[in-house]
Amino acid sequence: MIKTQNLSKEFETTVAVRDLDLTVEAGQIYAFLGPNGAGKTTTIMMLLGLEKPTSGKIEIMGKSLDTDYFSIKRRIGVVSENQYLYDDMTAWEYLNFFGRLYEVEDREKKIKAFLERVKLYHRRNERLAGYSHGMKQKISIARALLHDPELLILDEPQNGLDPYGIQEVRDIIKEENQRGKTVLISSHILSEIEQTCNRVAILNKGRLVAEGPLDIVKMKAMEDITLIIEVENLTDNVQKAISAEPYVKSVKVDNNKLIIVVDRAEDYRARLSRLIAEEGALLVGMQSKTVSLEEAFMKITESNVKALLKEGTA
Amino acid sequence: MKKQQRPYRAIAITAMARRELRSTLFNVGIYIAIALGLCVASFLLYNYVGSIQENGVLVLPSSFTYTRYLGGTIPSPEPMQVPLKWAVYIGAIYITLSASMAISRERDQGTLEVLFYGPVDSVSFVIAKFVEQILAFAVILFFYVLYFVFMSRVSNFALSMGFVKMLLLSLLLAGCMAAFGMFLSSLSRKVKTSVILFLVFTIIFISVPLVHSFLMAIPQDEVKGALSIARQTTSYLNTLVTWVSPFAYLDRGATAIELGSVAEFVKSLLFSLVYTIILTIGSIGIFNRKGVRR
Repeated sequence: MIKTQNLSKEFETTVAVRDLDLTVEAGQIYAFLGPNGAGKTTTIMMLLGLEKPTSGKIEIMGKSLDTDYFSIKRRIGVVSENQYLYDDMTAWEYLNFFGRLYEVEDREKKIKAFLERVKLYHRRNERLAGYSHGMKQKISIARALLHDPELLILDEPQNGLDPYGIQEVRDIIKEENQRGKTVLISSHILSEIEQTCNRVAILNKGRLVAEGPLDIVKMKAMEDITLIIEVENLTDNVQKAISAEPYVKSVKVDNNKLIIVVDRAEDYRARLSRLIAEEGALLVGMQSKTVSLEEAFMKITESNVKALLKEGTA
Repeated sequence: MKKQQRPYRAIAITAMARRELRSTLFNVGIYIAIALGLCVASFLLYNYVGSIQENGVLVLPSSFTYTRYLGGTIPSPEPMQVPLKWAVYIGAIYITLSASMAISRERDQGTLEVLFYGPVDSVSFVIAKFVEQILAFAVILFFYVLYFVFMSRVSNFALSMGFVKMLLLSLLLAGCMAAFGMFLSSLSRKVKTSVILFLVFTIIFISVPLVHSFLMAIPQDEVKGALSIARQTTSYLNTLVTWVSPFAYLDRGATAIELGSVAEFVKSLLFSLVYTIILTIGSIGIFNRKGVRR
């Protein structure tokens, strides 16, 4: 759906994006993450043709904006964090205008449906100037979906929304994805990304520092894996036997629980279960302590900054 | 651009021009411009009627600046022509002001960015803005025509072919004014800047011919030293203004109408058209360089 090759954007004094290779497959909900100034918005603007890349190639739906500008643009829906609306228009007029622009069939029916979906139909005849931040964001989402785009590009769509608004937007994203839409979403609300996305890319200082399925990226961020094993008849022998294993880095005991840190080279769960059984104890439960996306994000971006500082390019 | 992109562009132009026109019609500015234009026209017509009442004869002044382009003796204009010309000037100034804010306002408010998320490119955007200005001017002209038809009945002043020609010319003038205003608008990111540019250029375009006429009126034997240099300089500037100022194109055409010269009239229409096309292309070029983001 989206493919970039060696995409770079240099401004007078900074390099906003450096050699970015990105592939978003159809049907994915793809998260595009990074700290402020990482180059996310610049990349999105380049994807939309609003910033000219310094070098590199962009393909959207297998086509280039240079040759198929209108046909591509008509198949994309965009919501940005900034709510630039025509304040002199009512919600109905605003959506009607964009409906005309995209030549939406059954326009009035669809506008009504979308206004009902974002729970603003009863306020359709009010001017947008009087709308709250959250209401404006919902209108922007309705505008982006009105023409039934194949690709949704959402730049901080949940910014400034209350918990209900955040949930509504999350539901809309999931529903649209289930209906076959591809979603590229950039957000700082990592807990939301964790709930909605199946693939992430982390950008830092204009470089892609991590990319892949959500779980894999989170795993990669962890140097070690922590296993919490609940054991019956836990004895010192069990603890000693486990500590003696070469891949075990540390073992702690908390009541009947063993907290074991192992390296990431392999999946050691089966070996550990067997060992516990051999030592005459009974394994009741085992779980891996997972890292949150937020923790993974912090680790990845911090280690990348350290690496860049070493290189002298940060 | 590919052939298939043409209808998409036309769709975008229609949708945007329609939105803009609606916004203009719901704004008080256009009605102030119409009212002002009609007030000036009424004042002139009132004076003509008063003059007839007092003297039994109407002696019409020639419209201003006509000798700058074609020279020669110009017959007195028809009574409805001069008031229409002044009304058109006021309407055209409104169009220039409105056009000078058209691009910069959208960029300033960020709505330009949202438009460009969708099927809108620089060509369709600039042309949509241009079309909207022409349509707004057509609305102004519609009110003017209603007024002049009514006044013609009341005053018995005839609406001649010259009047119709002036209407046609004024539409092209609106094109010049809109193109000029949009050129200024494309230069700036802020509405304030484009309004300042509009004021500066309007003052220059009005004052240069006036200063030039004043200096040219001084007898040759009194023109010495600095005055001579000033006269020469304003002469050059005036020549430049006659090609750069959109107002000059109406003057050129109006003079042709007053002279009854079809060739000059057609020439003035062509000049206006070329001026409009050059400035519109220039606006698109500058717009592309400046980008759509705030």
